[in-house]
Amino acid sequence: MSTTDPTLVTGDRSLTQEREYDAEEVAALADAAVSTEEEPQQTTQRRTRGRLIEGDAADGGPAALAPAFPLPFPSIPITPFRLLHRTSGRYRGTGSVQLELRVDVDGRRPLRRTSGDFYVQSGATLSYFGSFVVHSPAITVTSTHVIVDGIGTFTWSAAYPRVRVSVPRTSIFHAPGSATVQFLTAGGAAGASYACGHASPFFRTIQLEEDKVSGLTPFVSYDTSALAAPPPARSLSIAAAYAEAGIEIQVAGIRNVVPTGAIGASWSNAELHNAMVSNFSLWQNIPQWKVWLLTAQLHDLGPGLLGIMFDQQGAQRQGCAVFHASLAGTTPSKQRDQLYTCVHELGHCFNLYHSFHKQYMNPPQPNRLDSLSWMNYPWYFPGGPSSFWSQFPFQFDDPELVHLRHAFRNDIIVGGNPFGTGAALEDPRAFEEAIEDNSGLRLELRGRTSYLLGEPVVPELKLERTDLRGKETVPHLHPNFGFVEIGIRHPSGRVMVYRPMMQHCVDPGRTTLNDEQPAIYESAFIGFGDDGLYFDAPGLYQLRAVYLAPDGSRVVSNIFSVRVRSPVTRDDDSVAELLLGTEQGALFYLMGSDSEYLRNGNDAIETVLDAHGKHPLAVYARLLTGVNATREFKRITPDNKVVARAPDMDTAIVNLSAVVDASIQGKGVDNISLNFAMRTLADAQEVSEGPDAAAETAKRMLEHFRKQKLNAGVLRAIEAQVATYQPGENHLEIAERKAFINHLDPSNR
Amino acid sequence: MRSLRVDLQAGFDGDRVSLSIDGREVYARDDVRTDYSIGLADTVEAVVPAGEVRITLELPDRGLRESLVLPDPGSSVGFSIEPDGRITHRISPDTPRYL
Repeated sequence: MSTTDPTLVTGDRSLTQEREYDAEEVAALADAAVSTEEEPQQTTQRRTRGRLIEGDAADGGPAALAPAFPLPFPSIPITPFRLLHRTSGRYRGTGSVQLELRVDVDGRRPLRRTSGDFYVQSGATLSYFGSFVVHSPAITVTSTHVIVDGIGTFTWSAAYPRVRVSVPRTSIFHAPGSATVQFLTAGGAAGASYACGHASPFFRTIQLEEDKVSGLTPFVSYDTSALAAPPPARSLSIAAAYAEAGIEIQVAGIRNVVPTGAIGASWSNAELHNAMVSNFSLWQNIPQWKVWLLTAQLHDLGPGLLGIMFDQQGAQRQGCAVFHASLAGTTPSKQRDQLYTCVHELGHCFNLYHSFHKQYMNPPQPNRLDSLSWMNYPWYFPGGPSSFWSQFPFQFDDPELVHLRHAFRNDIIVGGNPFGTGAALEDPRAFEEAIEDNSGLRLELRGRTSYLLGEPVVPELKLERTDLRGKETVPHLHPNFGFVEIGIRHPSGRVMVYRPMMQHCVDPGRTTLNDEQPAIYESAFIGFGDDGLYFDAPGLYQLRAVYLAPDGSRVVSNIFSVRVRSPVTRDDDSVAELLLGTEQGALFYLMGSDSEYLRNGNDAIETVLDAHGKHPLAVYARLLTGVNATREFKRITPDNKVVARAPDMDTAIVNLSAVVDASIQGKGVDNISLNFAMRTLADAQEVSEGPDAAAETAKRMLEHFRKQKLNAGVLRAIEAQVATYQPGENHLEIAERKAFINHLDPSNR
Repeated sequence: MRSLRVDLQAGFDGDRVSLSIDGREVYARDDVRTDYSIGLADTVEAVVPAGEVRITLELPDRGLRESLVLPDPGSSVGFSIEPDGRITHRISPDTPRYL
């Protein structure tokens, strides 16, 4: 996967010649006191000298700045009769590293910023890399160019943090010019450069699909002069309100009409979410610029709830609803309430909090109770709702506008970071959903979703083809081999990438997923690794994996939630205490060891077996003890002699048989681990008791898995395993027996 | 007798919450959590005697307790927990609205 800093110069990127411009300094402005909220990465406000841009004829030029930024405008050079394209808007590059750039220096409520998102093409996948924003650039205007130059804040540690954007000023009778983006060190050494063609006058574009419950009339537009309000009077639809913020809303999809009879008039959040998944034709459980709005009658919370952004599971913030039990009507007041509620709920979808809840965001910001914003409650405004409406200019406040236009992509994109949270996985580049995925593969994390505290967490990985022509893949899904990484979000919000205790270097080999073998599977113990214990507290954990395919594609899995339950009984508590230790974690990772350095861990495992042998989690202690007993363990004595502890097959058979018995009754380990345990048991029996006993265990394994509704390919693989165990025939040659004993590799089970 | 509505609003973060009216516990729940899309964690409807009533909100695991006398039981009250741990309340003569 590409983790290369895109501000660096690399050989495969087309360099664009950066010009030097003799900028005419027009005026120095003190940076407006616009704090950046809902953008948690922005923690400092720098005040720098900015430069006033030249007038924009198409938009009324600097006069349009006045309402938001009442600043002096001295010495503006006039370019007579030049009707110029507005510089502000969105630009997009092409190639293996693609930059989507936003320049915000003129037009309506200019914020004097530039920002961008990088996307990386890898094989057949396009993935988000990271974002940056320049909050206080110097803006220079010449007769030919607008140049924006400043130090950026990045989602990664950029080697070239200074950003210089140059946009030619072109006549409206010609196509808008392309922006050139040059990354530099603070000292001015040049890094990478990108050419980005003009894409849109809007900073972002989102598709809105509106559905409604039958019999209801969705909101269309409101004339702001219908009731007392500040000028200018205009007709506002939802799209028009967002257009004023620089956000393009494209109405998309076909308006579905949800029949009233199916659900009744009143909706719960769960029903709304289900309706979204069923009716939102653009819905996917991934971040995307697509959002759903339902006009419904009533929420279960009653008529006091006018609207809600209900989608707070999975990829959040994709849907909202407004309720006509209180909003319906054609009076100006009702129409105004409908407009306000629709824009407000969609604001939540863009990860905006209420004006009076900013302090609860992550990270917090000061509340703004007196904000004249779409995101306030008019009835919480000082002076009450009449005071609010008489002053409300039908717009977002300035910090919200900064968020809408320039927030890092995952802080705003619908389906991005959880509502109110700016946190991301530790390495966002590794776990971003592909924007386009033509890899022909699908990776799934699955398995048990609930574990008792202390229980080894062992998710299953399934890689299957989506390309019916067949797909060649690397057959190793265990994170030990480096082709799969797993990210873990701790209940505290802390995010880690699972790092195996040992990285296995292997010839990756190839296997083909086809009709015969449509998928490959692996289970992986990820409870312990290089960072210690990963599931050391009760709560909800979220896992996501990414697989690196041979063609370079990054195949990202679903987000898989695992709940670690609190101990209920005193026995639960004691066993959790005994199993949750770094030495015990290492022992589970290694499937046992006689190492002196892990003596305390082995003592704890023995205590589980001796004092809590009937506890459900004792099965894991037995598995570990049984597998370890099949192997000899060599150690080097202080006088440099190699001493080996011989395999103890009796101990192995007793413990593994108990694991098998419990698991077949559904009280033990997962299927893949059971398969491993039964084959290990059969091998141990063959060595100790002869091939008939091994064949009996193999036969039992086949009978068990035939009842499990496994797919045909998996069952065929098990049948092939079982076929090697035949009564009267040794499965393992003598040399192989020794190899089995010495080289049982837990990561290959 | 009249009905009283108590809204648990901002700042609840998986808390154990107890609500008493005139010394009688009318609400006790674990894992109370604010949904910031509307600013509401839970709603309690209680039938109370006419006249003033004393409402006590307690978050025992955080050691927080707030008691207030509501002169008009026909109104509603919303409690919030500020980030610094203070319990604040907002009394409204009407049924509160959310969006």
